[in-house]
Amino acid sequence: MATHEQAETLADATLPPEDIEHPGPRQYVVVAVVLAVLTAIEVALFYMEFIPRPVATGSLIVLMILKFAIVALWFMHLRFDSRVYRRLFITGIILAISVFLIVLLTFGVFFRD
Amino acid sequence: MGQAGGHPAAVQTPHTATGLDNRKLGMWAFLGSECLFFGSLISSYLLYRGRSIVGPYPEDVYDIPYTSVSSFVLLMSSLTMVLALNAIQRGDHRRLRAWLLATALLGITFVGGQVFEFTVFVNEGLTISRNLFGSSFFVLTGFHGAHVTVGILMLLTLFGQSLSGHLPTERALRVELVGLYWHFVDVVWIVIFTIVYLIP
Amino acid sequence: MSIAVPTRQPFFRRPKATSGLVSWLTTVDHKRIGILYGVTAFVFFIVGGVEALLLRIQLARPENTFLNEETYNQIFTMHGVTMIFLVVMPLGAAFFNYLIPLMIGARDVAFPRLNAFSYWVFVLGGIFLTSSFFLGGAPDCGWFCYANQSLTSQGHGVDFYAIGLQILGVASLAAAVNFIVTILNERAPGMTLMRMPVFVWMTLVVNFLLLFAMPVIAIALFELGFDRLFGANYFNPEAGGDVLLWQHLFWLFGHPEVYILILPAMGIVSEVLPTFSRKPLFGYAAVVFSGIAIGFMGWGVWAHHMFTTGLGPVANTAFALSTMFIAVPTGVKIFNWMGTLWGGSIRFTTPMLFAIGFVGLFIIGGLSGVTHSIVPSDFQQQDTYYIVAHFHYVLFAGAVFGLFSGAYYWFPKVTGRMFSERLGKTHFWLMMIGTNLTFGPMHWLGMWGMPRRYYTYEANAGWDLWNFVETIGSFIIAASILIFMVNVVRSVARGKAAGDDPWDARTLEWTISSPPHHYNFAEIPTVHHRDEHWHRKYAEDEEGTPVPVVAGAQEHEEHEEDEHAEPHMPDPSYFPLIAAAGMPLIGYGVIYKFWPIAILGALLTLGGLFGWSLEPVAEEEH
Repeated sequence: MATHEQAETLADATLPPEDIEHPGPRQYVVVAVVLAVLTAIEVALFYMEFIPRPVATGSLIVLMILKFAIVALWFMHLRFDSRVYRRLFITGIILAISVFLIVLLTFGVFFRD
Repeated sequence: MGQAGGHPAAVQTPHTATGLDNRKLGMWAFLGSECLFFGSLISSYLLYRGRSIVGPYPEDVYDIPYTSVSSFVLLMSSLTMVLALNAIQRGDHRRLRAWLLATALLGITFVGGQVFEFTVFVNEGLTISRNLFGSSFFVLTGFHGAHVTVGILMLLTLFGQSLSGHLPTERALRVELVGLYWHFVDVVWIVIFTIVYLIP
Repeated sequence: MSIAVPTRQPFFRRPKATSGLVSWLTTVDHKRIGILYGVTAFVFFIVGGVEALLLRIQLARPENTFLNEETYNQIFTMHGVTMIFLVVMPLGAAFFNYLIPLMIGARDVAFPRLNAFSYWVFVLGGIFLTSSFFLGGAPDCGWFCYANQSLTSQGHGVDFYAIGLQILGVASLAAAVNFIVTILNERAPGMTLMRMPVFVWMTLVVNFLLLFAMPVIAIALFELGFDRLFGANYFNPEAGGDVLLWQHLFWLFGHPEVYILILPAMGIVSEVLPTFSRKPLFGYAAVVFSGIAIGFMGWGVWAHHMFTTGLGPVANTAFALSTMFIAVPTGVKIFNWMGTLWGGSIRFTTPMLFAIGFVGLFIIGGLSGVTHSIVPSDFQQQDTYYIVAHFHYVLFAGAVFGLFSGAYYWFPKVTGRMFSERLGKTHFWLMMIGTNLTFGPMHWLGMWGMPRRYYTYEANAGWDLWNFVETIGSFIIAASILIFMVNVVRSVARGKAAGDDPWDARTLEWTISSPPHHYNFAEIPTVHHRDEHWHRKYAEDEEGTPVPVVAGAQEHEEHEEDEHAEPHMPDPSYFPLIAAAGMPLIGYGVIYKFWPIAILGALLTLGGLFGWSLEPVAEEEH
């Protein structure tokens, strides 16, 4: 067990700055509304067949990443918590994306119609 | 501590070398590994997209409005989850139970919706053994649904513990941990909804 | 601050035994769990070794009829599966379990019951997998079980493979979470990451590899299982399934897996060499960063197992390059180990012999590995005994030698007794000779074209003599293991008392008694240096020669604990065993489609997990 002073020093090194206000219920509802709006945009994009497919696909991916990040940063509190948690999670995400991108590339998935 | 938007009820810095709680660190490590779990399933799905030799194909069976409502339900359950955590951190146990129950009910709605959707697909001829689409779709969404179900069980357990007086404010971390798991399951669905259902 | 929660009557009473069978079944003490892992893994080592001897008897002569094809396939499959999943990985776990808390100055791991759960899942999963021999046949698809042969394999062998490895994967994942949190969070005050022993660093890297690699094989196994049991089409070519998907998923796991197998041994050797050279490890930072580099780069080389599958020149080149690059950090470690020995005051004890043997033989295995990285060359080597030579040099002459080094090194700490050096050295030399006789000739047999995974070979291909020599070698290895076992039994019974620090070593585990008290440290130490224990014993004079510190001249830190009370440790628990016990039952139920057993298993596991979550870590009424 670390002594209290040492724990606090190490903890300080891993916490983000204290000046960010932690969200309350009202802020969380705002976040949820944003997420709902983004979802609505996604569904709308699906139906807008006049948009060229690569643009639609790209936009959908961007929206997906945005929603993912918002849930992670606010609901999962990563924005206000120690950076260590963020690193653990991002390592898993980046690793998964990287290796599977390569696997799918070897299968030529992105060169088919 | 009745602050609306301030730091939650003061929790002592855990006596660990990093100052972080063991269980929270463990949960985040586990969620990191789950990225690889779902990443493998999603990649398998992507590999086989468009390669099924016989139908039904996605465009034959998908009901996007229906699934959109389902997705909305799950997204809102993340809101109720975070409100539940906020409630226990403020010491408001009645609201805690209300929001926990709401989250569980929304989760049950989602899983119920999935089960219904699967039944419809099966009736339309899409089974796990029918073609590549059937295999990769049902296994991916099935594992997701199983994860949601485990989450519902944990939420109901917390609800029961709170009812019987075994979930005091000092044990808010338990709600936080279940919450992290629940939000992760939501986030996976965000990816599945876009990649599996929406992207042509 | 006590929590005002109404006390509950537990469903049944918390176990309290400290000796006897029940105390072992319910233990949450990392040291006992380490011993359980070690003994169980050694039993499986004998099983895997017997499987090897059976293979070698069959191959001693061309066109032999000792084993028929079907049996041979099962035996070589299970030899690989056993040695990798039931021996080398659990032996690593045995060392992690016993040593990590001691080396970081902690009283136990972060999650003691999860620790016990990992062990019980391992042992029951191992029994489940091995029971396949008696239930219609073991898996016969090779340890890598390629699709779609895996789909058409008759009988339930492959089902046991799919479910058995799945169960074992749960154990590894749970352990990974446990050790990552333990190493990050339970270090004693003053033990920064760069003051940790190298063994602890390697354990951290290994457990991150496990954390991220196990889910991938879990999915591969689920896909295989669903194909076989529910008619899914993942690997079914008739439906358009691609068998290469299995290979990618398998090797995405499989390559990090080989680093999971070797890094613990590298960590052990990094502790043993300095102690018996009376010098600190040369280039500590370089060794640590090389280990981390291997952990990262290990994710970028997997397709070098697939060079002959038609990936195309771009993919082949990329993976050839990444494979060549990953040799660099390993080379860095080897040079640092040599640097540790250079100029040291060497004592050739048994653990030191195994450690030096590891370094020399691992170089051979590593070099043959580098030859595989050259794609056209690999086309010749693939599926021949040359590959078999490579991985046995790195895994047997490498990892197993390293693990024996650790076994001898920490034997006094675990048992409180010294082993016989005479028997130990006999073991070493016999094993050295046997290993090289068995695996050396495989290099040229492979180059001459002898294929692997075949139950026999033609007479007069020029292979007869060396196959026979290899069989002799394998029996010499077996003899050396018998000597090891005799040494262990006699030394535990009648060895000389070891004392706290028989080797004059460098790290914290040697500051406490042999064996340690169940609470490890009476007072948690405060750490001021790397090799803290060494610096407490010795200061350095102007020439850098260690000079013993006068006893009692060291500082004692203040402590507020009551000096008379033993530290309160987590209590034993039934639930890890109960939760684990359900899993093989689910397995049997699913394989034989006998649902009552599967449901019973599920209830046991769920009930066990439920009870565990409601049970406090330690009861209050002590």
